[in-house]
Amino acid sequence: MKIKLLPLLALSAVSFGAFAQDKPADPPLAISGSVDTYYKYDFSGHKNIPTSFASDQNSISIGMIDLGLKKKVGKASFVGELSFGPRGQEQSLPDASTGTLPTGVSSYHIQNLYVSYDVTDKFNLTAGYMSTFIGYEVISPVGNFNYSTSYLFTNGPFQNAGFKATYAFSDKVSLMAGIFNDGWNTYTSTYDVSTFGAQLMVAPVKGWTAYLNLATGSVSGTIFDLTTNYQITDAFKLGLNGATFSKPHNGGGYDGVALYPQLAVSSAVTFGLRGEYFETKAFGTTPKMHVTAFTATANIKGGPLTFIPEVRLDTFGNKSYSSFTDSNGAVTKDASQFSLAAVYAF
Amino acid sequence: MKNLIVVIALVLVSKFGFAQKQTLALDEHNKYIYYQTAEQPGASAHDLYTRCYAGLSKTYTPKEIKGKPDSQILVNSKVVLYAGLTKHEDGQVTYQLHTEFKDGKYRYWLSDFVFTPYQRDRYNNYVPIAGKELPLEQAKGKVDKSSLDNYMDQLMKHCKQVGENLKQFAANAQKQEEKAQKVDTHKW
Repeated sequence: MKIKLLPLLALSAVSFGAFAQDKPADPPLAISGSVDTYYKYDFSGHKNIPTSFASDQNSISIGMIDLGLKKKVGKASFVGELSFGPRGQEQSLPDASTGTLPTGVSSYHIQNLYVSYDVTDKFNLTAGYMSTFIGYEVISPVGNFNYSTSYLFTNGPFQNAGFKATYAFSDKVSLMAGIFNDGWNTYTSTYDVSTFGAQLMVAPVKGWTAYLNLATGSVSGTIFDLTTNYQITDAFKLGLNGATFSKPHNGGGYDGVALYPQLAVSSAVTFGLRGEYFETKAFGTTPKMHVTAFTATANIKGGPLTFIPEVRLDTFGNKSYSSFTDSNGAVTKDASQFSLAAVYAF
Repeated sequence: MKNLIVVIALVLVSKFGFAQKQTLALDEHNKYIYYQTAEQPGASAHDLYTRCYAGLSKTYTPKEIKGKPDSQILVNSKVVLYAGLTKHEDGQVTYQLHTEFKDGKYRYWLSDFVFTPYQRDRYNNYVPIAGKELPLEQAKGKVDKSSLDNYMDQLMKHCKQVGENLKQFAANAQKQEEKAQKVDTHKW
């Protein structure tokens, strides 16, 4: 009897009687990240262009290993993102011992560390150490089309630690407001939590998103920033970033604008240009100075791997304030470089 | 011993049976569709509509569901798709779920599948890429094969789960509350 029952038991075990799901299950723990490596050659034979990353001359060098964790349970979630390597340490993160950027010998390796709570499906609260909401370009090579960075990126904030609230009025409009540590790019405040930040997001038509950003405080100064992207056709996208920054106590600042047209010629290959005009403000006896930068980049994708060949030409407005030198060491207005990077995203 | 072999064979067959890939069908307009009909003898169209609407209201938000009493329910929703090993959001497919009712039977279909890839934002969240929506029928050649296979598998699982849910709602099956067993320690 027992033996004859075995097949029946097996059959019943095989037919799993599932009850209906009341609501979707929480997403699993997500792991993401990237690794990147590059070669760069400045045609003068030495370093010239002050890009934030890809700084080594005539060397096959590393960027970073970036590892992110994210988990959401119900309405609460966290994100923790670590990075290791020059791009992920002294080139993008503050020194944990001194709180200064960029040089440092002690790193927490933390790019993002924050918690988030959906009070309602429209209203969210987030607190912690976060990548800045300002600007077009980001630290992760996965988030940028170009491998070298713009002057707007290099001179703007990288991280803002604080507390923010975001309300989504609709799919087309949302507003964020928050308070952040007084200093940019620091794990702890210098004196207090006194930077006010705000971001208005509008998506007027399908494929077009624009962010109007403001961060202002007595320690770090005031920056107004416009970042926008428009996927005009399936193949063509146009991006724009404009910003104006004023240091506290009339201590100078900068204005800048960069345009990012991109054309996908196939599912694997996209060509893009970046044209940037960057000008420092005059203060005291220091006159204003400007530099233009033209960058031609390709993204060639093979699954999760992207090859990024790039050529860049920067020109100072006046040789008198140029920091570029030619192959003989003489001051010159122009500098140019070629780079080839490989970025693996997972 | 013979019976044990039969049992093992049954289990293996059932596992392979579940593993066979079912793909979405194409409708008259060459658009992907997941279409099923089902019978629920003894239940009127009104009963089926009411049960299914009540059940779907627990799964979908009020904004997503529209009902025409006793005859049809329309749901506009989406399913988030995950990357294979690392389990981060990789894309989404929006779809429409149509359900129609008659006495003793109902039918449903999921259609109008539109795929949107996700990208990582500066906060390490994965978000839809604006302006990159793609009807699923056009994804071949534009999305790499292994990713597309992964997405289609997840979408099929979701369609089947929707069907299973509707079956339970229509049958008015109630989840039995698990009660703790009572044990009398004096009798043994």
